[in-house]
Amino acid sequence: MENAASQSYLNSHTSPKWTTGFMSWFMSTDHKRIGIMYAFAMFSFFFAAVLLGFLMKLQKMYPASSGWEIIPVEMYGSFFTLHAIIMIFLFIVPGAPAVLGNFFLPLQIGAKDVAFPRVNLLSFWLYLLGAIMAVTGVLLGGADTGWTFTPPYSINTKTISIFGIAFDSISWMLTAAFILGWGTILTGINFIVTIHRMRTKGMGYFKMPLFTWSIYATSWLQVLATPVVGITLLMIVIERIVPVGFFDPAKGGDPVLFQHLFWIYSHPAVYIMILPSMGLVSEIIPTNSQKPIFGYKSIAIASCSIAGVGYLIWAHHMFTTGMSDFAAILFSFLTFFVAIPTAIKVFNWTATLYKGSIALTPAMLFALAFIFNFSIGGLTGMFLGSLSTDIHLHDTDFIVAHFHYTMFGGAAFGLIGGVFHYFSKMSGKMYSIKWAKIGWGFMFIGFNSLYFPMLLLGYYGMPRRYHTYPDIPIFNQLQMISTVGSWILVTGVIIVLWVWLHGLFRGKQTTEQNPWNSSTLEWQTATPPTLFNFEEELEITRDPYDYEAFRGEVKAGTSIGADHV
Amino acid sequence: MSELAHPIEHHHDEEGTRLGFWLFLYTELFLFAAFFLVYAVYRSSHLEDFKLAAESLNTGIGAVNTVILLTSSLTMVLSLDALKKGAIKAAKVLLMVTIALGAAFLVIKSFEWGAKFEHHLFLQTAKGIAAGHGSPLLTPGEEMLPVGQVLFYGLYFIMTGTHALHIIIGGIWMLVVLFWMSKGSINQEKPGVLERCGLYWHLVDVIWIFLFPLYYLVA
Amino acid sequence: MNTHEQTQSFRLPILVFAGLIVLTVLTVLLSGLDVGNMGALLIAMSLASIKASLVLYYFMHLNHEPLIFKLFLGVAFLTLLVIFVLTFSDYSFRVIA
Repeated sequence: MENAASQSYLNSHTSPKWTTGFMSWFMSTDHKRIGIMYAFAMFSFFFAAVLLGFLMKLQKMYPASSGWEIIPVEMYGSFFTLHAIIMIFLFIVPGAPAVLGNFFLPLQIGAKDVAFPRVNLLSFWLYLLGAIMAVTGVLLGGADTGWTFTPPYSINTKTISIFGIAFDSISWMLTAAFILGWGTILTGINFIVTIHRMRTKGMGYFKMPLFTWSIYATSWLQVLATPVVGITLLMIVIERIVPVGFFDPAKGGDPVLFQHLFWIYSHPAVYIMILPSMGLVSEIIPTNSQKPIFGYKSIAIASCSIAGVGYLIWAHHMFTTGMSDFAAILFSFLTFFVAIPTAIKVFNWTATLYKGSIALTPAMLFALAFIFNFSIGGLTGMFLGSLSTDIHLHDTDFIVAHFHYTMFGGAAFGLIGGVFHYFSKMSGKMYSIKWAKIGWGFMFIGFNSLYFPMLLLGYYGMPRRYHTYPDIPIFNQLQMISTVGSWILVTGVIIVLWVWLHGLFRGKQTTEQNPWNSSTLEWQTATPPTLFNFEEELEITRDPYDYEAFRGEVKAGTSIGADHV
Repeated sequence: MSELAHPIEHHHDEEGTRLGFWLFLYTELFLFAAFFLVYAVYRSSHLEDFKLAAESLNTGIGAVNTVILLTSSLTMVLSLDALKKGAIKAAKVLLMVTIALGAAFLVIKSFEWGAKFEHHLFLQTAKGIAAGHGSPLLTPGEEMLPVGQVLFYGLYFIMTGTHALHIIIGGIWMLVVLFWMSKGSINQEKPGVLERCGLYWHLVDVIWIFLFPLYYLVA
Repeated sequence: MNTHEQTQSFRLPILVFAGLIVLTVLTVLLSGLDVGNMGALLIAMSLASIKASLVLYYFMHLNHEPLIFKLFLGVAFLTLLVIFVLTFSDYSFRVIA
């Protein structure tokens, strides 16, 4: 007998009865549908912001003396602000938790849904509302404050108006960021309670898959850090409207205090961005090595300690602001501690590869690229965490390259790899593996030829946020390489997005449950999953990455492995 | 496309819901923590101005409001207790008393704010700042507030204002709870909503417990 | 949470309330003491913390909640403490020009 609950989630839904088609998604409290909706929204924004980045790189192709101008100088500030706001607030902060966390967290722990499904839908609506506000704010006036909204500039500046309408677009966009913040806070609360309360029988804390662990650490950061920045951004709005002087030195305020409050959130936020991708890499690597992950517990604990230490080091963004020397030394010292759990993870991943039977699937290629890029990003972070080198490198292209190596080469590569890993489980379709690998090749080569020259540029003194640069041979050559790299990278991004869309609409239908032969729980459900994820109550008896036991189960027929293995 | 007759039948996890609500309360706490941090920093750098400005606030009014909020917390606890024992009527009366006390707090607060406005403290703040920017709002001879006091009043208005906003939200929530109690959807078996409303109300109280000495006493 | 504890009398909340009022009076009275800025701040904040703990523990029923609730509270307060201490690692050592 066929009932709604045993059908694919794509065909049956929990939304109000009257809803069909689009509305049955938009009103759905099903964690799987919400994850898919986030994916569509987020990758659309991602692509738009990639194009902005492409234009900015094009602008840097030739020096000022050549008369080359793609973006007018007065627009350049709002271009990089917009690029950053979209990439940070609309793409990488919601990031992997919103898309793959929503979809796979309940599946990994054997739950029917998240703890508060309706709150989950509210999070998505808040995300959309914030996104729409941010985009309209840009269209109606824009902001050239940078995504950090640093006062006093953000308090005193008049907004640039594109259509000539008098409109305080900076306050508007700050409010948008506040609303987006509440979206992620509620998601964080939801996931923490889900993990604590909804694990299936036998799923102890140290039997949870590592992606779940990384989401757990991320969620705590979202809950405890986001409110601080939310209220701080609102204080800027208040200061723009009412003449109180919280952060404006002309009115007695201290702009450095704003930076403290801002980075109290925004430094943990970089771990909000990277931790879930680390979790995805921890899933992809053991699967494609067919080996238990090396040091499971140390990776789980490292996730939590990265979150903890991530809270202690915010002021390393502020070495040049004039804060006290004592604080600068203290924060520089503390910064080095975050390298420990991070390095533990990298060593564990590489140790997992050792003597594994490695399959170079698209997901695996992205995971390996993650390790490569993230290592460069992390090690250059050590340069920046050292006080003396930071004085030289601060506000240069070196920093821009450093955080792109972690955020794009790390977090985004991990997320894209995760989508390739889980694509067939989510959609019931298979993409072109060949083209996925080609897309990876373009992205990996393009990424490194775009950002590695920027490390050198920064070292030679190229300031960030500048519209152009003087006619110096070393600048000209490196900028040219970097710009050409951006073309290769954008080609790669277009190929990857095309592979997904093509797979979704033209791809081969598949019901194969476990195409990569993975030992974790989320693969033991139908493809695509049924409405309530699992048909029967589950009981977990083994460790998530115990491939020995998994192969035994497949032989005995109690677990499902890949057909082709 | 098939549809479900009953949308998801989720097991209802009271303890999980409470856990989630506590997490939400921590986000509220951290929101205020940012204010308290700003207060602490400016107090440490403008100590004399903060003391002078704090003396202009009426300790009596602050103390009365503290007692009112503490009493309202007590009635809230008793209301929940009554509901869990099945004394719906008593629970409703006690909740109404809580709402009334919250309203009394707001009335007193508004008088206090009004007095501050009347003494032109806020306007003077604004004028002082405008003057600092070279705009001639001050009439000749009128005194400008020192920067530290401007910061004090700015923080006073925004922190007590945000707190008052929370009182208003709590009050509206209690009215809704009262309505649901009359309709019977909040009852002895299902006291969860009143319980969470109570937690929220107590948190607002906790925040006031810290606001009171910082603004009215440490002068 | 067991029903036995829930059905206890009104005595406990009223006792706690009385304690809160006494502490409030104490806060007001002690604020008159001349103990310097840090002394006054320390006294006021300690009393406020005791009051807040009473509200959290009894009125917000943390006394009946399982361990996990208390651990969460610990995480939250530890984080708050870190934020304040580290921010003041800057402000306490500023050289005022």
